[in-house]
Amino acid sequence: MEDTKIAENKTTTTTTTMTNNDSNSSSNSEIDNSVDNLGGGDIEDLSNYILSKIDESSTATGRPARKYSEQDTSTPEWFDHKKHFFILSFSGKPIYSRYGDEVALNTFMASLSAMSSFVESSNDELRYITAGNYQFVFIQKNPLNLVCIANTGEPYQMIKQQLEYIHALIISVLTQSNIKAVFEAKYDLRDLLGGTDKYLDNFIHQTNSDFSILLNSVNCLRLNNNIRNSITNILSNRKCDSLLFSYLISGNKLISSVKHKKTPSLKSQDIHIVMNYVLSTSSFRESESWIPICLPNYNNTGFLHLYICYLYADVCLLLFSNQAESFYQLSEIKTMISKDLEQESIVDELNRSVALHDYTTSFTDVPNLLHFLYKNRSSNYSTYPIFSPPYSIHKKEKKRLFRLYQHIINHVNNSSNKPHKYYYHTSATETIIVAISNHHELYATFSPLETKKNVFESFTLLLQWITKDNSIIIQ
Amino acid sequence: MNNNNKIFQFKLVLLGEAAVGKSSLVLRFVRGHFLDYQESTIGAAFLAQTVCLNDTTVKFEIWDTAGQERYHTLAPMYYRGAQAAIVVYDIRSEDSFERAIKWVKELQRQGSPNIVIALAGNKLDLAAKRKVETAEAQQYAEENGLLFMETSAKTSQNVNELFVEIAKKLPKTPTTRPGSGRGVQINPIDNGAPKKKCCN
Repeated sequence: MEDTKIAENKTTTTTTTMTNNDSNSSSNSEIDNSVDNLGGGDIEDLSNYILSKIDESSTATGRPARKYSEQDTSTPEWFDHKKHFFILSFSGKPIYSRYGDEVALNTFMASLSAMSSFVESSNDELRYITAGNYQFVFIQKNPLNLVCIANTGEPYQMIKQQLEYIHALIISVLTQSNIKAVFEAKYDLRDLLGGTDKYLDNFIHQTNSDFSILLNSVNCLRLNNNIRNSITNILSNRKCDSLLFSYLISGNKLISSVKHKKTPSLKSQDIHIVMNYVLSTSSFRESESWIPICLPNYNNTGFLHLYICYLYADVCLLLFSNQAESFYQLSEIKTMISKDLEQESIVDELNRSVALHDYTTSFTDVPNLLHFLYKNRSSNYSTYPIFSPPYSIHKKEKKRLFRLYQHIINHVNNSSNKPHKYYYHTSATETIIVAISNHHELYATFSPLETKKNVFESFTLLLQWITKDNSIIIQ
Repeated sequence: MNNNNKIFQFKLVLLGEAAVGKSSLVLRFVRGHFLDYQESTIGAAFLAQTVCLNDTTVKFEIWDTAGQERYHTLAPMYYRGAQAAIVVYDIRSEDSFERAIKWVKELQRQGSPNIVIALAGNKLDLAAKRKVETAEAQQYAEENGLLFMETSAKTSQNVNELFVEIAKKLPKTPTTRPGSGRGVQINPIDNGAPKKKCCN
């Protein structure tokens, strides 16, 4: 890691040494149980309570060992991973590593912390370092440092966005206020994040492969418009005082959603956080669940209460409430929604659509089309086909197309000028044409051998098809 | 009037340290299955199961809570109004037993006045690695008026028995305890009566 350059910064310093600083000194001492009395179990008391209560670290027995947990900087395999993610405190205390045990990576993380505090000491912010094929991307979210080290060739903005998603997930577990409180009291955040590794691992994987996250959007289940409207009506009719939002999802696809109060809508990032919990927790299928969750874009200082129940094999109902005590009310609402769906004979049609959601480009009847991504910019809903040949044959090809889209999306949206309205990219492997308007973004992929005329014609057809087909995206 | 055809509904909460097997016990009891790697519960899970005694049926509404420390503040919401609690520890872990004792104390102090508390030493199939002696836990349970059983969600040993013992011990009189809200006697014959809606 010699010869590193600190880029995009007023400072252009060359760091050659990264000594292990002694910043790993946060105390982790036993705390006595001075506060044993709990008033009403009010979740707002959480921070106070946490501070007085961190004394038992759970013995995580009986859980499977995490993949790669035995690796660290002493094992050559650790360096083979293409994309590392680290979460550490401002003082360099390790909190999470995507690969390897974070405690064994203590020294390494302290070095990362030294890099960012070196730049910070001159009142600046370290954004990224390029070292050979590797890019070190940093984001500072007081009191947390998040770092990604990757040789994937992804644009800086894209990695930064992924780090922000990861940070948002941490907030969703504890709230920003609680994280700060924990650090001010010098406690070990890891004690409070027990069991969260799995969600972080999965979310990192999602941010690295999910087109709807790439587009900062929510993917819609393909569903007949009339059926969808009926479902939306049912959801909006069944409400109670504490109910803020009702969502019906299938995996990470949205079926329908309703906002019951005059309150801001949920942002795509928050919805992805919730979907990640649902996708990562198979036990939600066994029961009704009731979880406190902080949605960072909605309110990063407090919790909402989320009722989760699967209505059918792959259809999950999510009810967001602002009252911790509203479980039984929401459970009754679930029963009524379930009955309504049955009475209106929607169930079969819905389950059929869930099974038949995936479509390929041939479904569009647009000639020569290899793949596309579509996002409605006003609703932030998106749709895209599954991979077909040549991409479906090799995993590598899928990844390559994903990475190419990352670059193009970055070019189009993050260029120093205004966002481009049209963009035409041709390489040895594909041609991608992009149109951006206030209303939508469309990225369409063709063979590189296709003539421009054919590409434009197909592109126009595709746009017409998307606007005409009212099942593909929530209208 | 005898209790024939009577269904009694009780709220039951499971408490205990993370990874002692609360969810595994519940899933063994309710669904009859066991997963070697049961994932951590987040928040709390709600399930129902009935137990048939000789002349009555007891319906348990079960709150399976998460053991992680960050969820501790939420626990009162689940044990408030509960007529029964199962406090679970791992027989291989002294720490989890001490944690269980703290839960018992919290329940005795802040739970419903007549709450039936059961202490369950789980993972009996791993008795070779036992750290908490049966006699020690037994004695603690007796001194504090708790039901006590050592269980194995994996082999299902004592799991149903535990719930049946709790069902037997619960008072089968129509409860009028203020504030309990749930845990009421339901007469199935009255099911035709319109249910009060919570909203609309």
